[in-house]
Amino acid sequence: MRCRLWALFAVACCGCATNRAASVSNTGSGGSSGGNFGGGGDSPGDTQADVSEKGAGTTLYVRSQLESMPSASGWRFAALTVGLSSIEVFDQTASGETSVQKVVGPPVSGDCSAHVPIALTVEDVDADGAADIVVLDTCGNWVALGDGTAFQTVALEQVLPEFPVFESIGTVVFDDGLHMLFGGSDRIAAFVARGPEQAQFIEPVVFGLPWPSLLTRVVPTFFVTRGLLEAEVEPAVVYQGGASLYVYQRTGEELELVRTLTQSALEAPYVLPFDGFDHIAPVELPGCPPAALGVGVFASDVQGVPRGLQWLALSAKGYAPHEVVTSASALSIRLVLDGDYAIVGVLTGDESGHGFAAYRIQDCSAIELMADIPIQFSWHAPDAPAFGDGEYVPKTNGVRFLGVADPGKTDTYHFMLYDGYTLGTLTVDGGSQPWQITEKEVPIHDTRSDLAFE
Amino acid sequence: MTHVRILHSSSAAPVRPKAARNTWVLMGRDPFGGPFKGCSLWGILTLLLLIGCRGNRSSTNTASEPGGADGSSDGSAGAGGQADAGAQPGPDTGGSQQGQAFDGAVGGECDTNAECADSPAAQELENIRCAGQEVYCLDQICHAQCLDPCVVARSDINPCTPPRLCVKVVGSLAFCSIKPAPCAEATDCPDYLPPTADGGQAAWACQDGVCEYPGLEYATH
Repeated sequence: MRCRLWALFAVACCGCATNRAASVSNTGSGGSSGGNFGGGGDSPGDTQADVSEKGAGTTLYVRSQLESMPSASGWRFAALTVGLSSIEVFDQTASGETSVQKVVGPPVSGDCSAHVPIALTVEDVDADGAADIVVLDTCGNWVALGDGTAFQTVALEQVLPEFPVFESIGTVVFDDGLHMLFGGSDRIAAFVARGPEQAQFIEPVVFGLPWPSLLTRVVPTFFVTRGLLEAEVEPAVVYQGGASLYVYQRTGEELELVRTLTQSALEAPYVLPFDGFDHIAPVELPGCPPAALGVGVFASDVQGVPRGLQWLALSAKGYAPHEVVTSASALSIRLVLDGDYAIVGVLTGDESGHGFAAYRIQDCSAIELMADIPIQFSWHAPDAPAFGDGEYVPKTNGVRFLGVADPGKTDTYHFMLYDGYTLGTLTVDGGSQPWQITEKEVPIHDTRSDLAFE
Repeated sequence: MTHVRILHSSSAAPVRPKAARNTWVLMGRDPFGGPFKGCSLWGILTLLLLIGCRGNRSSTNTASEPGGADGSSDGSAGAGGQADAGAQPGPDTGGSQQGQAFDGAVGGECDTNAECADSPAAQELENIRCAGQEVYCLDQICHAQCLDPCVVARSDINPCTPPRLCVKVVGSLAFCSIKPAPCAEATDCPDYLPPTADGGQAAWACQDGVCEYPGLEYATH
C-alpha cells in the first residue's frame, strides 16, 4: 500500500491524473468477458443513458490508447478508453467482421472502488508466446494474461516486479532478445527487463529523468532507434520529456545517458524552438539516417499556433525540424513501417471539421501526400468526470490511434479510431492509382456506464 | 561527450530472478523519498504554474487585422489539449483572470494616447494590480486595460487579437498592446511580421523610438 501511495503521488505530481473516487463499490472480477459486435450491441452493464449527452465538457478520451497485438488472422488491438475502468480487445478480420471483448481488471482493494487505467502496453509477460497486456492503473497495476484468445487478469505483482504508476508505458525488445518494459512520467522513469525465453523480470530500476520545461506537457515517450550510437552498442533508447531528446546507451541491463539532442536550427517562419513533439515516433527505414516524426508543440504560454507535423532529422549533435505541410492542424499521427517505406496517417482538424491524410515516406526523407479526406468520425467521451474534475482541465496530448498494414493485401493500411463508442477505420488503399482512403464506422456501444461514473 | 551515470543495477547479469516482493532500486536519490520531497513540491509548483498559465490570454479587442494572419487554428499550444481531435471545449477557468476581474475602464475624451494619462479611465486603473497595463486613446475615448502576456512562436502568426501586437517589454516578457511599439533598435520590435500588401513579409524598423512596419498603421497614437 505504501508503494501504491507513492505511485499515486508520482502520477498526481505530474499533473496527469488525480485519483477520483467512484461512487459505486467494486464488483469487478478477474478474467475477461466478451461479446461479438456487428451492429452496436451494448456491453454488459451498459445503461440507457442518452448518447447525445455523452462527453459534454470532458476531455477524458484524449488520452485513450490503442495498441496493436499479434493476431493469427486479421488484426487485433487493445483499447484503453480513459474514464472506463476496464479495457477492451478488438479483433478484426479482413472480411470486416469486428468482435470485442471487455477485459476487467482484478478486484481492487484499499480505498479504491474501481480501476482507473492510465496506460497500457502489449508484452509477452510470461514468455508463453501469447501477448499479454500490462495496465498501469492508479488503483493497482494489473496484467491481462493472454492465451492467444482470451485473457485472465491478475494483479501486476503476481507476474511482474511491483511497478510505479506512470503516465506512459512501452515495451522494447532488443536484438539480443532482452525485453524492457519502460514506464515514464516527466521526471521519473523505470524499467523492468527479462531475457529471451525467460518469464521473470528483474526488479524495477527507477531513475530520474532530465527535467523538462515546466510548461511543456508532452507524454514522456521512449523509443528505440539506430544510427545515433556506435554500431557495437546500437540501438539507442531515446527519451523525450520536453524539447530535448535524451539518448541512452544500453549495456546489459543498464542504461546510461550518453547524449542530449537539442533543436539545432529554426526553420522559418518559426522564431521559437519547439517545446516538444507530440506523438513522436522513430522512422526507421533500411539504410537511412535516423529520423523521427512528431507534432511540434509549444508550451501553454504560446497561443494561436497550429500544430505542425515535423520531420526530425536526428544526428549525434542534435535534431533539425522540417515542417511537413498539412491541410489543417495535425492533431495526431501514426506510422506504419512497411519494408522500404513508411506510411504516415495524420489526423487533422480545424473549425471546419476533421480530416485524415496518408503520407508515404520513401528514399529516406521524401514525404509525399498520397490522399486526404474529410472524415465523419465524431468523438465523444464516456461521461465520467474528468481527471481533476472541477476547474482545472488537465493537459492532454491528443487522440492516439492505431495503424496496421493489411496482412492479406499489399499496399493496404488500416488506421483505427475509437472513442469508447464507435470504431472508425480509415483504409488507405495504395493498390490503385491514385491512392484512396475510405472511412468506415462500426458502432460498438450505444451507451456506456461504468463503475467509475455510475 | 559527457557520460552521466544515472542509474545503477545491483547485478551485472542481464536478468535476475524475480524477488518475491520487490523493493525500489533507488538511483542516487529517492524519487519517492517522502510525500513532499521533490516530486510533490515540484508537482504542486507545476500545477500552480500550469493553472496560472491557463488564464485569459486572448485580447479583448475585436477589430480584425488586415491580412488575416491571425492563427485561427484549433491547435496550438502545446502540449495542451487545445488541439485534441474531437475535444469538447472544456471550461477555461483556471489561472489569473485579470481580464475577468477587470474588463477595462473607459472614460475621458482624447485625441492621443498621451492625453489619457490622467483620464478617468486611467484613474480607475490605478487601483488595479496587473502584470502589465496601458492607457490609450481609441475613437477619441480613453481606455485603460490590463494587458495579456504573449509569446510569438511564428513570425506569421500574431498571438494577439488585432490590432494588438505582441510588444516586447523587457527580456522575454511581452504583452499584447494596442499602442505603438517602443524601441531603441529594430531588434526591440515585435517578432511577428504582419503580411504586407503583396502577401509577403517585411522587416521592422526603429524610427524615432517607435517600431515602424511597411503598410502598418497603429490603431492608436
